[in-house]
Amino acid sequence: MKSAKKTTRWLTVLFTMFTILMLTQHAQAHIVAGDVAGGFLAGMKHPWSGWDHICAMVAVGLWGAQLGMPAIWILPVTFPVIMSIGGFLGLIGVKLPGGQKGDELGIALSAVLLGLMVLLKARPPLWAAMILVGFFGLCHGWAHGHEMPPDQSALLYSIGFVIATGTLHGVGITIGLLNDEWKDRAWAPILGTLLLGFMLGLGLADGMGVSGWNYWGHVAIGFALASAILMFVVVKAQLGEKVIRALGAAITLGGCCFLYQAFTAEEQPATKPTTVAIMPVRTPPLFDVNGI
Amino acid sequence: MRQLRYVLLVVLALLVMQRSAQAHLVTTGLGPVYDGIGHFSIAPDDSIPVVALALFAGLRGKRAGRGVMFQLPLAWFCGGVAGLMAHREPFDPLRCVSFLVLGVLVAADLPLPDLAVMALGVAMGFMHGFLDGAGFQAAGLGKGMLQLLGISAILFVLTPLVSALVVSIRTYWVRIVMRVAGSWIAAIGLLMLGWALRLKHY
Repeated sequence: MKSAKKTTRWLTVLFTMFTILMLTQHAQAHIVAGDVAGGFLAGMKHPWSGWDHICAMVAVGLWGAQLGMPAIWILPVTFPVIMSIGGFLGLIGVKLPGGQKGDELGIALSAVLLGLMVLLKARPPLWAAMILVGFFGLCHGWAHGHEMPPDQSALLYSIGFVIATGTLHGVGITIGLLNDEWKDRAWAPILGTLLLGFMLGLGLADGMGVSGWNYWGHVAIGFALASAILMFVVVKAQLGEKVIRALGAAITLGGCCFLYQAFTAEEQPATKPTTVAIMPVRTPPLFDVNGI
Repeated sequence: MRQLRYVLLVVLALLVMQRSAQAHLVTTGLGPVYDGIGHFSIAPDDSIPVVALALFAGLRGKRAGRGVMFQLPLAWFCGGVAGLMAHREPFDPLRCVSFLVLGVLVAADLPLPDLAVMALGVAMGFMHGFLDGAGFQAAGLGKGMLQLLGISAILFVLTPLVSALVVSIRTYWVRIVMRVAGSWIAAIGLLMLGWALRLKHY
């Protein structure tokens, strides 16, 4: 009874804080508001904006969790590092064998093969898993680099981009660990719910094609709905091994669809920058007395 | 307890009804030292490599952490003074190097000797300080020395805090999280470098 009261109290506080956050007005005092928000958020959204990327990155996390230590952290480290090498190559205009089509095939194959690894709970040597994950990281990175929008702050875009990629791996790892090592920890469902809820919220907002404040409103609605459902599933039903494998199967099936799409798609030209902000605007010190 | 609830309700109501603040520092000003602190705080291209260096120093132990605490602010200040006197436009893509090198070092948890860690701190501090100083000079701002002093002051506080935190943590998982963070920083650096070279390609 006492703990129920405590939970209710915490939920009330959280709900109130969330309401306040949603009701706040635009801050008027930002110095480089457009640049900072645009670059970071655009980078954050990029890896989440395509299911082919989402499936592969979540699969890396899931597979890492299945393999256990040290693969659980080495694979999700390998992926973003090699992905950034791919992004670097894409940015400077190096062509991969097969060009954009070859890369799209690589991305689609990543979902198929990584999904299969999860489905079959494959246990290759660590170096082999690293090579597989690294190769696909290169394909994903090249595509990101090739498509990176011009006129963004490189630093902030990259920060958002890498954090979003890491979060997707985190989602996979969390689902994997919730099933196994963390199932008795009190905070595990909360962590899983937060990550998955955020992901589904973003998916909903993107799917609805909304923008601005409306976008974040949809993220919030998706977050709340997903949290409620996931809390029930994770806590009450306990994710089982079969569910994890089913996720692997779903990713593989999704990969097959991406593969078909990659075969039939037309090649797109690279985004050509007009002006590129290498760094965030190097503002003079914020509060310069002399300038006022 | 009930009174507290009322107070909380009133506070929340006030928060909801808030309007844009009129008293921002941009209109009042707190002087060049705080300008420097503010500048560092909103410049992730400066603050992220500093955090990476502090993480690396912490991973290497107390002695490296202590050394970096003194050498980094000093080198930053000296570099800044050199930058102020150089009268050159800052070449910002150089900062990618700090991201890359420090990110890789943290990710690999490379057992470098303390002296090497300190040398790294001096080199990084001098380079970033130089770029900051040259930036201030190019922007035509006065009192650059005091702004650099502000940056050095915040470095002196931030670096030991992060390093000490890392030294005090013995949990295996937390050290892994730090290494993962290092890999992210290296990835950011590489993407920034690609972005910088992108202009030349087109």
